[in-house]
Amino acid sequence: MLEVRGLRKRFGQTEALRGIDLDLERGAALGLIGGSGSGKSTLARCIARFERPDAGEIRIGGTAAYTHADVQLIFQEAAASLNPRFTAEEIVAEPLVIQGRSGSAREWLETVGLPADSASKPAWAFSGGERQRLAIARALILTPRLLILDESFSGLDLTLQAQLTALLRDLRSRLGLTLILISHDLALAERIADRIVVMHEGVLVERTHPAAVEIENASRWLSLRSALA
Amino acid sequence: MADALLEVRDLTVKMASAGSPRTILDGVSFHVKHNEITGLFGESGCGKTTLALALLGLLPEQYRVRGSVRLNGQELVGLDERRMQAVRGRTISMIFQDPALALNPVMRVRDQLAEIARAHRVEHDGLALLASVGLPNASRILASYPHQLSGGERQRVTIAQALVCRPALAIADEPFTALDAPRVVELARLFTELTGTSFLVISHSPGVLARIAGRVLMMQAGRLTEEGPPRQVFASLAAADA
Repeated sequence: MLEVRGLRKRFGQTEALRGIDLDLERGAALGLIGGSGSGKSTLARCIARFERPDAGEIRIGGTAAYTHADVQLIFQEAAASLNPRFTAEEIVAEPLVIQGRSGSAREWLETVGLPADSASKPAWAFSGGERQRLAIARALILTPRLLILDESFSGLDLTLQAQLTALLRDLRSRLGLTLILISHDLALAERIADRIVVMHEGVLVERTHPAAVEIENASRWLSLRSALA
Repeated sequence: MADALLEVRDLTVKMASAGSPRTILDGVSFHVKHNEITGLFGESGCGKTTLALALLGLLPEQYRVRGSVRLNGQELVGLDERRMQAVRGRTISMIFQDPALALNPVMRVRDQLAEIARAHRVEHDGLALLASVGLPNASRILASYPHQLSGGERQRVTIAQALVCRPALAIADEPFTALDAPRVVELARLFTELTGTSFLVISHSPGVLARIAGRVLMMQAGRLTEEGPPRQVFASLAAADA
């Protein structure tokens, strides 16, 4: 479904991507792990067509001529990406308006588990977890082939993380979604993804690479179970 | 509690609103001992940050604070702003969640530390201070602006800021949120290595608190619901996480 070949991107002196090859089957969920500045977000932005790579090729469904509607990206700060003057229904329906397509925003609000009376509420009236649900509904209304979540669960507490993890699992099984989950939290990624790749200094590395081991050890250190063992 | 550094008794915070006042903190009582790390755990919106701001006397005017907060025997609730300023920074200080907002973007680190020392009329040694928070290349960092530092370095500089006056108590509000997992581990270890200051560490990460805190306070909807060693307080969470 997704094929990435020899992807390179440079910002000034910094080589953010140094030749990325990646394949993803339809319906698969990939966890992309790495420290800050490892190039995870640049890769996501290239796949979502927010950045133009310097070299290499990205194909979705066999074509390099895919559009924004095929790949949706959800950012860490859901609140910052929602128009505060719009109602929930307007926020979710906005991509349809831009693309000149029809669809029901209310149905998608229900699909992501928001109550029926939320359609007329403004964005500021929603909690952090509900805003993430709004962002997911808005991303899914265009029925994209690929959904990328870039640190979308960072800063949320355990209960909200668990609720959103359950929602993503449910959406995957119901809609056959293909997912990339970007995180620096290995334990969280493992709950959703069926394959984990680790990024370090612009390349994908083996799980045995020292950077991957460091992240894995840190994640284990942060896990409550290992702390109480 | 004879050896308590901080003693909070029946602290209640209400916010004035159009209808009846909203209770944010409801009869909170706890203590923090000398040279101890106490964890404050709870979900988003349960009142953790309000508690921190109430201890520092930093809540806006529409909040009404009742009860007692005694630091080294001195009552802080009802203290006038001039006296509270003398306590704040010098005896009790705060490490904020987002170093990008806590640091002045147009001042070098050296000047930001000196400004705090000058305001509180204390001597400080910038190099030694940065070394104590695990920044070995201190002279480069002193000469840097915040944007020239990494996220982990910036967070350590904000901790150094809070320690300029060697306060008896430092409150750290979600200090790990902006960091990746390896940096969280390093920073959590740093808290256990700093001596002479007690820490009240606010976090929604039970894994971190279980590693570093001697005692954990669990907060739910404005009340403290449990208090004790992390193993005991988090036992039910660990079972749910398994």
